[in-house]
Amino acid sequence: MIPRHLKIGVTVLLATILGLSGYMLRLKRHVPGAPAVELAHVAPPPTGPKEQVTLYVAYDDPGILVARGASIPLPQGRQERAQEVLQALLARYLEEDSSHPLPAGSEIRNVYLVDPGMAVIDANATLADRHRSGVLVEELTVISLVQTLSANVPGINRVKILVDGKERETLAGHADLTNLFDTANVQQLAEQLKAVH
Amino acid sequence: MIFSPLTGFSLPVVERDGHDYVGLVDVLEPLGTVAATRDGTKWRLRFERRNAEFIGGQTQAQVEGKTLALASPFLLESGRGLVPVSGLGALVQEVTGTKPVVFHEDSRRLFVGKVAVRFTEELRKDSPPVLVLTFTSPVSPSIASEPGRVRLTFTREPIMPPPATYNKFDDAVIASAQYEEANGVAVLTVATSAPLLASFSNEGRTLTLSRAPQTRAAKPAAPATAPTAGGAPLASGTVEVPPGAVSNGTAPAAAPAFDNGLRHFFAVIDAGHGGEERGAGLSNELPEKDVCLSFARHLLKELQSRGISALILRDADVTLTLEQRASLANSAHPAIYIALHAASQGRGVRLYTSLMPYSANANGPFQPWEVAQASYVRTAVVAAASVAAELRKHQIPTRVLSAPLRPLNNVIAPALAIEVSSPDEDLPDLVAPNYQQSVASGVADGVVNVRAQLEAGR
Repeated sequence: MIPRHLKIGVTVLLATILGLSGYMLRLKRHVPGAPAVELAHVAPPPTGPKEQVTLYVAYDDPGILVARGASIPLPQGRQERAQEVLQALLARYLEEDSSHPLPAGSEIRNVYLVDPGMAVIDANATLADRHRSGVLVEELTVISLVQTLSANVPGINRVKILVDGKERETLAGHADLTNLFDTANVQQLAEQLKAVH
Repeated sequence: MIFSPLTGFSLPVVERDGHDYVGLVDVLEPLGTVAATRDGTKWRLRFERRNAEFIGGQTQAQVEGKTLALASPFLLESGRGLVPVSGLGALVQEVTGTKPVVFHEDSRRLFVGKVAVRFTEELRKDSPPVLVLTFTSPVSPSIASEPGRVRLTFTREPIMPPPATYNKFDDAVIASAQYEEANGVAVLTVATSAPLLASFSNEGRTLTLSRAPQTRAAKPAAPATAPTAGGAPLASGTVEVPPGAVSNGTAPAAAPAFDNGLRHFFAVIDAGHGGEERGAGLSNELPEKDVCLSFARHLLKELQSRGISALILRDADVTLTLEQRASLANSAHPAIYIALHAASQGRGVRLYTSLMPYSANANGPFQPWEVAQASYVRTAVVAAASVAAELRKHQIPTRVLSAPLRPLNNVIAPALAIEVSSPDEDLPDLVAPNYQQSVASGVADGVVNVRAQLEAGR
């Protein structure tokens, strides 16, 4: 003869097991499945209020550099701001009806403020490998980048341009990338490039 | 000096207990993937997929299970494995598994793999006789002229000794050639009783030494249509003479003087690009290098017709590095250096001077390479303005700018670069002889106008 209290205990235990199983099944239904496609890593959009910046925009015809105002959202960090300003400039050059077309896929990989007064612009290989060749057309690209950077990020007096993180002799056969660009000299050249004569 | 198919490099040698040593990782790193670990006195090395083990103080090493004797004990210094220089060839051969490895121990030249450049010497009884050196690969030795001999020094080339290291020739001017090796370099010394002219051909594989003209008048200019093999007068001191360097003629009114054998030209014309470096593709069939050369020849003629002696650095389709261009230009000590470029963008002519600011020369005769142009920038700007004014008289649209353009910064003379574009929308007009002649004429007039200022700066 099974004692009564044992019958009650087993019944309660079975009821608990059944209840928990049902709860687990319900929970399982609510867990989402693994995503079918791995999410791509996307850089966060720049945050912060829009600010007025000056982009030194190249015009192949007639071969001049013009200061153009633009309003873009800028982050707080100095390095991030430097990068955003150059991205805004590059975006203009990648537009379909650009005044100074750069190769599709051109990117500024990074901008580093490595030393008091020194900035390093790291462009991707596409920008240099597929850049049009010529003294003026290359000069317009590098002076546009350097002048835009120094005009919008105070305290920069020397700029180095790398390609894919490495030093390169010229941009596309002419513009010298081995030396540091002195921003005072670049500013003078930007003045020369304002007009055709 | 270590030569391999991929690279050539030199390493410091240290002396320990009367023996010479090198760091084994330093030797192997440029040749492939190498990793070393230290475990007490044991030092294990992995090169690509081969393993070796050394023990500090021991004169034996295990390489791929094989015992190898070392000429003196293996040394461990701060985790760095030092091996004796003596017997380095055999050790590198075993560790890398590369064959052949040849080590010229006395001259410390190590050849890893099939890298050897061999050469032959032949005295041709032409009139006058010439010594023809034929190499199995292009070479670019530094060439020095000393009283009674010319020395060719091969630093970067893995030159191997000729069958006979001393050759005596039956000639009154070119008497003999002696091959020697020392301290990582190979030297060929040619005994001569007169100044010799060196010229390269066969894409740098053939070097011809011939007697230089003895008169002060230069040889006539090369024809404007056909590229010619070049020759350059040898100077007192060391002058790098890469393939393609050409000395061209001059008008009698400004005959270049031989100064200790080195001809001083008033203007050096540097036709941009060349050889493997095509420059901009102005069209599918028209590389920039060809337009530069054609324009350089027009400019040479225009300068000569105004009594200006000039030298074209590249008068053939050969590759010259920017350093070679600056070195050659500086060797000629010109009053002005003019680099030529061409572009399909824009109209007319753009004149460029160096982007660097003027600064007075405070270094005496020794100029820092990167800023050698600094004390000449002002004169260069004056010359550019003069040339621009003359071009505008020819109705050619002209701009004067500065530019980050090498080798302007490295030249010790007022340096200009000229980028010529088509006068109108039509690209073929860029190569029209009339247009090139018109531009060349304007440039030559502009140079003549500032001749006094340029002379003053020499």
